Amino acid sequence: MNDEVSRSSKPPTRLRNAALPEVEEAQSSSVLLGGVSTSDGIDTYDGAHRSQFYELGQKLLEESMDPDQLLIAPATSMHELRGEYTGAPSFVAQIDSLMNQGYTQIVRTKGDGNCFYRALAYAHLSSLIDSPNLVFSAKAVIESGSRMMEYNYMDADIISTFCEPLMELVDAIGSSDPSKRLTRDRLLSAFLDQETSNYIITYLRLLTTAQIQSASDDYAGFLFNDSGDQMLPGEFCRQYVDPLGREADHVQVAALCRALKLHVKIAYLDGHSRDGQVHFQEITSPGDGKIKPLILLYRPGHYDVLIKTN
Amino acid sequence: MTSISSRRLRKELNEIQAEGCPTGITLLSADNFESWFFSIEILGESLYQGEVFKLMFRFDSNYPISAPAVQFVVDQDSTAPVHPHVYSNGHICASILGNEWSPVLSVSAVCVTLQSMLASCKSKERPVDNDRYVRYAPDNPKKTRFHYDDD
Repeated sequence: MNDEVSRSSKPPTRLRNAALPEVEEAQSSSVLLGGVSTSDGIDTYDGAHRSQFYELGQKLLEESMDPDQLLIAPATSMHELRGEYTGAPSFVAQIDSLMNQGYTQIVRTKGDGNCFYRALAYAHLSSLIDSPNLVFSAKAVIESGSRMMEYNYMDADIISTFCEPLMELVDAIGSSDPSKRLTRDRLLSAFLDQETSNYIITYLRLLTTAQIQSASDDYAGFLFNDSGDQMLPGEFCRQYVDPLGREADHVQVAALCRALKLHVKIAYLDGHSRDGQVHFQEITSPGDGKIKPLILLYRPGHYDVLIKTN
Repeated sequence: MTSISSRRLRKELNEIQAEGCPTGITLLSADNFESWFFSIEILGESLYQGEVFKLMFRFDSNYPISAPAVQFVVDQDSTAPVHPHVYSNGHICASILGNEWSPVLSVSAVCVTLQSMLASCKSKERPVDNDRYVRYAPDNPKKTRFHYDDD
């Protein structure tokens, strides 16, 4: 695989919190064939931090199960996030370090298993609002993505249905009519709308699948199921990319950034560094030019958008 | 029902009416965009030779983002096939109706998957927890969090 992301030595821990079908009345109706499996996905790092990570994992898990949590929230100060980690000095140190580097705001996404896709889409469109001169090439990239899907035998009607809401937003960025032009507020309300938001995510999932299948030689060595067995690309995509709510792992992240020709930096807020240093994973794609990178914040099991204000 | 959802169902229905259902599947009724009924049988060698079952699809306004609720109809005329993943109340434990549902799947695709699930059955048995499940099962199978086996 060409993308830099694949060389990372250590896979992030995963909180398998969201691959659950919609459950209402969970208590009364969760009759299972093999027992409830909500706790086995909470990974831990080294023993010293075990309880702390367990707690943080629980927090994210609860967040993700909260049906009232917004799909995406307006930007808030990193001070707020810092306040949530007061019991975890290694995290606080990393948050301080991010704030010192100018990353003072965060756009939080719902922990519903779609957070990577939602965060990336929001960050991408948001950066296009700042650089409308890039709209034309961004559109061309999406259009060629749709063609790549067609080559992979996806139904053209289905592709266009899911592409439409994304294209409408991209088009609105470049609109000459100020009343139609996409502002950050309008972008946020589009992403808060269940239908628009989830259609965009579905499109990005299909695009990820198309990328993995079109360049399957690059990805074949990295496709594993939960038990660590190697999978064929088609089967992997059917199980781990296409379904809404399936979290994105390294492969999906790399494939989607490549398909959209994005330059992405992911800050790892993982409590790992003693001096509060934050490791950034940089994903570059051929053809991303010298565009400003999109910045995401990764906490074990979850992605949000980071905003640099100075 | 939202426009995207009904547009999608309209398209699927048009295709079914124009091109027909997959072999062994027949559309019984699709009078609205809330519930559709199909008959389903397994052609060729299988444990279900000569048996015809009735499938009910229920759609909510988030279809196809959210999966349809699919079950076998159990009433005075029809029963649920005896199968390790099919409960006697008609509920089906199949991952594509739950955490492996994808919006690119369709009603026809679900029918074909269920057909092959029945066709590959090696012994006619109910799920081990059938009685317990059926006693407490919700009306809508989508409210059940099934644990999917590999097969």
